[in-house]
Amino acid sequence: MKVNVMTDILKANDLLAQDIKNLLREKRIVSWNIMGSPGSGKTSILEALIPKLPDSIRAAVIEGDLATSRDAERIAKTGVQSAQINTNGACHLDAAMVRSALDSLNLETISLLFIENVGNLVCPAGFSIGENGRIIVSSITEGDDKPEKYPSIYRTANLVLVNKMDLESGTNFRMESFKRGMEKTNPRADIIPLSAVKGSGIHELLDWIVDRL
Amino acid sequence: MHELSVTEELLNVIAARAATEGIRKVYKINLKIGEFSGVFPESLKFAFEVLSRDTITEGALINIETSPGDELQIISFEGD
Repeated sequence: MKVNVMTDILKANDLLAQDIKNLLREKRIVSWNIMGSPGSGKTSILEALIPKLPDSIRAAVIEGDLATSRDAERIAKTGVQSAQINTNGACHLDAAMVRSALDSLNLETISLLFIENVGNLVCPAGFSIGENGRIIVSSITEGDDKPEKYPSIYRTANLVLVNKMDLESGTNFRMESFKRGMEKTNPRADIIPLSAVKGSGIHELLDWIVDRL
Repeated sequence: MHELSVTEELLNVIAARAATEGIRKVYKINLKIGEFSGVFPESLKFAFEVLSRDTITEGALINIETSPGDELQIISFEGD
C-alpha cells in the first residue's frame, strides 16, 4: 500500500514557528533572527545598537548558545530584557526553544525582539523560529567569499551586516567581491558595512531597524 | 548539518501516518531534498539506518529525489 504524504519533514517546527509569528504580531513585536559564524560579532553589534535605540522603542533579546549564559549577561548590561537558550550541543535554534524562551520575557513592554541564533553558517538556515526576517552578520576576517560558499543561509537574508570594518587594512577582504557574491546569491538583501567596536555603521543599522517597525 | 534531528522528525511523521493507515511495516520512503536544504542525502540515509532500528521502518529503502530549492519533504511511503 502506498501512502501519499506530501508534507515538509520539518512541518512540526513550521507550525510552531507560525504560532510564534501570530503571537508576536498580536503583541505588535517585530522580530529578527540574527545569524552568523561564531565570533562574527552578533552580540557585539547588539551591544552597540541597543543603547542607541530611542526611548520609545523597547527591545528584548533571546540568546542562543550551545552552553553558558555569557551572551545573555552581556546583553542584560545594556538594560533590556534578555533570555538565554542553551541548546546543549544542538547546532541551531528551533521554534520550540524560542517558544519556551518567550515565556520568560514580558512581551507587553517590548516592540522589538532580537533572537541571536547559535553561531553557525549552515544549520540555522533550515529552521524558522517565527521571525519577521533574518539578519546575517559576516565579518571581514572571514573573507569576502562567504555568500557564495554558504548560499543556503545568505539567500534567506533580508539584511547582511559586514562587521569589523575597522580591521580592513589588515586583511585581503574586498567589499566589491563580497557584493558580487551577494548579487549572485541574494540580490534583494541590503548590505551595511559597520564596526561594532568603533561604532561606524551602527546608525545606518538603527535606521534600517526603525524603518521596519 | 543536523541530519539526526531531521531524521527523527521524518520517523515521527511516518510513524504517526502509518498508525492512522494501519500499516505495520514500511518498506520504501520517497523523499524530495533540495540542494539548499542543508541536508546531505548520504548522512540522512546513515542517520535513518541507525534511528530506524527496531521500528516499523527498519530496513526500508530511502528513495531521494533532488530538487534545486530548499525542499525537505516526504512525498510518500509504501508498506503493509
